[in-house]
Amino acid sequence: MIIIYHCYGGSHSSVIAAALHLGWLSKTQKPSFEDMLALPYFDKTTDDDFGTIHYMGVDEYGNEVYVLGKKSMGDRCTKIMNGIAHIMGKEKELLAVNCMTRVNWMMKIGGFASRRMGMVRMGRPVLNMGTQTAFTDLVNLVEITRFKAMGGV
Amino acid sequence: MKIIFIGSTGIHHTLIAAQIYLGRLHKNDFRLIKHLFDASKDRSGNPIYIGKDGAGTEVYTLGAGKHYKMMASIVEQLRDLLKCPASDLMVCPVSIWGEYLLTVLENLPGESYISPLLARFLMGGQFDRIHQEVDRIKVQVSQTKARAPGGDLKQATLH
Repeated sequence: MIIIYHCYGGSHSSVIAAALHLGWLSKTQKPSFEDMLALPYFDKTTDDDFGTIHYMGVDEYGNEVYVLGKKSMGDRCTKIMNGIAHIMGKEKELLAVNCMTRVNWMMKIGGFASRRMGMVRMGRPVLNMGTQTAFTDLVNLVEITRFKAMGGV
Repeated sequence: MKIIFIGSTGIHHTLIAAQIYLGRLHKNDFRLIKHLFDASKDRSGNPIYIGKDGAGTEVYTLGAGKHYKMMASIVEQLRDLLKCPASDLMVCPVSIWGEYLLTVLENLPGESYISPLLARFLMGGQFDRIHQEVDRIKVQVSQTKARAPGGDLKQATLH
């Protein structure tokens, strides 16, 4: 199965979710900001990365995990990807997950300051606070996704 | 083969393009087109099935808002990830002047009389432009079909 975690820029919440899914981050302990920065694509993407599906890895069940930055498309992106998979007859092979439902305002402001404004020194501390706050929500999202990928409803 | 006409909405100019492609629309008269201005169809996110041409090619439209070009690229990448050949699914962006205004009109509340009127005005004045886009897409489609396994390679090189 192909699992695509998507968020605004494909740089923060989707990367954290994918890392949790692949076991690169512990679910029981909040990661340090250095741990997050060590992840591929985390707070490193540019405008050219919008709309690019980045490969992250394969989980223990053989599901391929990807991340995607979809700008302000919201849940429409999930619906469209599911619709495309449906017309290709491959709806059971795709799981598109919108991470924006678990993103808080600190992550939005920190991410915007860091990536869009280039104010990395100001944006990253705010982003770190926001990600720490949203961490358990992201763990929950990943658990639900893993359950669905195993065939759960 | 499946072709998806993608634009800011799937129920305006993309629908006109699909109808022209299928040979169902030859002039600037949109009165009998199914799904035209049907915002509920567009909001579902599912590609809207329009019909099949004589060669069995299925034609769809898809609305993706102001980031439709980005979405077209995402759909192509998704096609590759799902291991479908490029000759099975083609994504064709369709653009007209005022396309972003159509997304605004689509979201006006209730059964607005103004939205279809303005949309008709926008599209009607660009019917020839849409027709030219469709002609270009038809050439692309025949080239893609020719390059597919079992296709006629002479047709690919002619273009």
